[in-house]
Amino acid sequence: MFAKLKKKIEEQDGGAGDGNRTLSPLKGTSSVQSPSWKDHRGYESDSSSSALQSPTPFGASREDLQDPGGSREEVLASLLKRTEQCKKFEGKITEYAAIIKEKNKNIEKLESSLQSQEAGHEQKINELKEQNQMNQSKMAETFSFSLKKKDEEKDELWAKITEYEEYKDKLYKQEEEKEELQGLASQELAKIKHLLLNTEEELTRVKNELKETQSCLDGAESTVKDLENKMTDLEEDRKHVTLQSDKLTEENRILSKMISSLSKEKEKLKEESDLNQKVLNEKCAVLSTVEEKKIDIENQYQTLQYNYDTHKTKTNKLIEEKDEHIEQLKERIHVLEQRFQGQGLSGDDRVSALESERDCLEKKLEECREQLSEIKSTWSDKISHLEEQISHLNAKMVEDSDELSRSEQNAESTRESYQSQLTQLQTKLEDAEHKCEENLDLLNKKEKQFEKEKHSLETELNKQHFEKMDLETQLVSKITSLESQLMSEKQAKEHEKLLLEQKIEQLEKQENDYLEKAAKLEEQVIQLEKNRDVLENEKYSLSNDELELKKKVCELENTETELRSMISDHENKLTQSSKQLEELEQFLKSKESELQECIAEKDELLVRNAELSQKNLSVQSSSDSIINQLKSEIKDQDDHIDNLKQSHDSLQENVDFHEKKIKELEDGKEENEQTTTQVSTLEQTVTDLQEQLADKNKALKKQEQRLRDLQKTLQRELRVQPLPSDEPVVIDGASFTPPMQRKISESRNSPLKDNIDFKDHNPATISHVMKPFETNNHSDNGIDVHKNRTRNSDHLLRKDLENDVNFKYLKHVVLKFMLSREAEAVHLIRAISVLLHFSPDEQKMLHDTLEYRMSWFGIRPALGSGQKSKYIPPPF
Amino acid sequence: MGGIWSYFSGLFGTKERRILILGLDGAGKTTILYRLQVGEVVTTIPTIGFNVETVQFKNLKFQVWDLGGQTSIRPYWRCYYSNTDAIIYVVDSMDRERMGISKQELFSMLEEDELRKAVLVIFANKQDIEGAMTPSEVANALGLTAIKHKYQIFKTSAIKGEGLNEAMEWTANTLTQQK
Repeated sequence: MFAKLKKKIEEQDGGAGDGNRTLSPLKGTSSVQSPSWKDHRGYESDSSSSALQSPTPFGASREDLQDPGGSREEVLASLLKRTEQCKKFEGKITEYAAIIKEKNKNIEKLESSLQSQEAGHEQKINELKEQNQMNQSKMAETFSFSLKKKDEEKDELWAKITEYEEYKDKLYKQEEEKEELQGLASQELAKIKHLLLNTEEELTRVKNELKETQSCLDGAESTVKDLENKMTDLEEDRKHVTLQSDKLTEENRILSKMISSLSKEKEKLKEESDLNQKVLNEKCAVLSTVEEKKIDIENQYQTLQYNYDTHKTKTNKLIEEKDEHIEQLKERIHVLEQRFQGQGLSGDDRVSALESERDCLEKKLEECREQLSEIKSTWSDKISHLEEQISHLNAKMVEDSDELSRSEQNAESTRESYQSQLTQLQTKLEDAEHKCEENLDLLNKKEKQFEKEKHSLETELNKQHFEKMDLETQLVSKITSLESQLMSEKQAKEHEKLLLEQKIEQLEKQENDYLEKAAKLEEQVIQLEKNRDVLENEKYSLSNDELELKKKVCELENTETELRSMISDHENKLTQSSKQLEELEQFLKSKESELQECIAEKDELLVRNAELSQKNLSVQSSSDSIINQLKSEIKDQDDHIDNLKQSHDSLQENVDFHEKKIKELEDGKEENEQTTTQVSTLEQTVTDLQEQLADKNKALKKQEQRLRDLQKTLQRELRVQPLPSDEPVVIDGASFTPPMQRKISESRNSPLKDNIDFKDHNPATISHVMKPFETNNHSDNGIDVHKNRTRNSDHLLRKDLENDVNFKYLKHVVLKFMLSREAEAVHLIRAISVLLHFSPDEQKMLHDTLEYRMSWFGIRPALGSGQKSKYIPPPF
Repeated sequence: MGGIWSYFSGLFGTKERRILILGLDGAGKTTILYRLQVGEVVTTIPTIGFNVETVQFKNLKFQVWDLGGQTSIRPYWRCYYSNTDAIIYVVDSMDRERMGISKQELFSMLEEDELRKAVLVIFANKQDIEGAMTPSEVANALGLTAIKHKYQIFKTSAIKGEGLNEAMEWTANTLTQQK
């Protein structure tokens, strides 16, 4: 259609190629843009002679009207030329008129062509509508066809489904049949089982009968056994009786032994009494010897006393005689001196002196006589005293003899008591003998009784033997009968057994048959199950097919929907095309109006043509100038573009530079991040080191405390140690403080070293370190205190001693030892010797002295003499 | 003369029996001693040393020695072992912690040759307190089954005077049976 129109237009336009372009918008793609395109064409197209450029005159006339002032001078200058040209133009106008006529014709033709085009359009529209309808019909057909296909498929699927359902039903039926078969089989099995049970019950009955018969047999056997047991019991009784008799005989023996032992005891007791008597005699003899010794000793004592007295008197006498002799000699000397003095005197004086001598001699004689008488009296007193003493001694002798007699009496009484005991024992012995005899009598009696009993038991035994024999015979007969019964029963049982076995075999056969049937049925069942499985598989495959088909249906539905959407799209397109058609109609109408306007304008154009032709050149020149201007502008713009490109390049360079910078900065950032991480790690290490430092400081403090404790304990031990040695002051302080100070100095030095190290590392830790240093100072003070203490150690030692448990214990034990009697004190010797570390000799000495003190007689143990003596010797 | 008298008195008179009361400190030895002697509860202080009292039970005379049980003076017990007829070993039934120490002391004591013939009487004392170990528990804790001596365990309360008479009766009977 379009091709025909184009051909027509080409024929009308004389083969101008531009007509295609003008008509091309009629195809409906860019009909709205066509006016603007025309304007552009007006500028771009050359002022060719082609009359088809109908819009160009409008633009030119407008430009002429816009700037007439600028072209009048030129017009005046070229009027002459123009007149010439006017003539030419008149000619041309005529040509133009002809052309106009042709154009009119063309217009008419165009109108006709328009009409034809309209008709064509209508036809096209109709065709399009038809095509649409065709398409729709086709689509509908295709859809219906596909739907039909799908329906068919559906039907097929439904048919398949129904088939499957039928299969299913068949399967169910088969299963039901199978179940029925199984039920029948189970019923049959149950029947068989019931039969089996019946047979088993019969068997059990038969067995029970057998058991009963066997139990009857057992009862008979048990009776036999009972009888045998009775026999054995009787025999045992007999044995018992014999045993009893043995026992009695043993008892007899024991009693005889007892008698012998009693007699032995009696002898022993006699011997003991003899021994006691001997001992008594010995003791009496000892006593008599002791008495004799005592008497001898007393005699010796008396003689010694007597001798002593005599010696004493002798010595006294001698002394007195000597004294008297001395006095006499003195007196004589005195007399002789007086005589010697008197020799120098005269006779009277001599007489007087002699008289005085005689007087004093007489006086002396008298004194001597008085003394003699006194001496006689004292002697007589002494003699009487001695006699008294003698009489006293005699009395004592008498007392001693009395005591002796008492002791003798005591001895006699004890002897008598012994004798009485002896007599008692003898009587007891006699009693025992009597008892023994009685026992013997009893024994004899018992033996007799036992013999009697034995006889009776033997007779009973014999009787029982006979009875047993009878019973045995009876029982044997019974047993034989029972055995015969048993045999018959056994035979019957065997018959029954055979019958039962036959029955059982039949039943077993039946069972086997049934089992075979059951196996067959099971095989059938298995086959059916297999079939079922196959069918199920088929079902599964069909269901899968179904699913696939469903999927296909879905897909088809989807395609349907898609097609429907396509249809809707097509409908939309149709509506759009109808709209376009309407628009085209509107456009046509506008064109018609434009044509009318064009016709109107054509008249005006014809009027203005001259003016236009005049203005044409000016317009051309102006257009040239505008073109030049535009070209220059284009150039300027190109320059500008170049500039912009340059600036763009420069900017890009800048951008690259900046990007590089950014990259550098990013690198720097990464480096910064690395450094920050390093810094953080370093900070962590610093914190860790600080914590470690704090821990070490704590440890140092603890060690210092331990040191202090050790010091204290050392000093305590020093206080305790000197106990054994009495020189505590020598050991303490002076000898032990130097190492302590050394330790402290070490402890003082080590933190200082640490201090220096810490200063190198971190100044913040110094404050931590300073504290231990201060505590060191404290510890120094503590040591000073300790020194002061050691000075006062003597005092403290005494206190410790008094507080010590061992000391308290010692004190307690010693006090008790001192304050208690010897008998109790003896028990404490060991405790004291352990506490005071006595040697065994010392211990023995203590023991001996205590024993000596406790004893009545005894010799004082040797306790050394002189400087080594362990005791204070008593004064005489 | 006196010698003869002593001889006779030895023949016919009753001899004093020597009994030791042993046990850890605070077991109630001194309280038991004076409970036996006087028959009433006496206020006591920790015994550093010993106490000796003569106790008449029925027709028997006992010389009862109560030895201090503190740890430092426990080694001196062995000084008193000679001629001992019976040992009363007192155990604090409430003192579960030191039961092991008590056992050690008991066994080291019984190893002594001088106490070979001595009769052992164990007093599970302080039974008046609630939560005290029963005599069987005490016997298990002390491991009495391993003892070869003739022994008997009694549950006693020195404060209330329970079980003391039974224990003394048993000791008296066993001592009279021995000699």
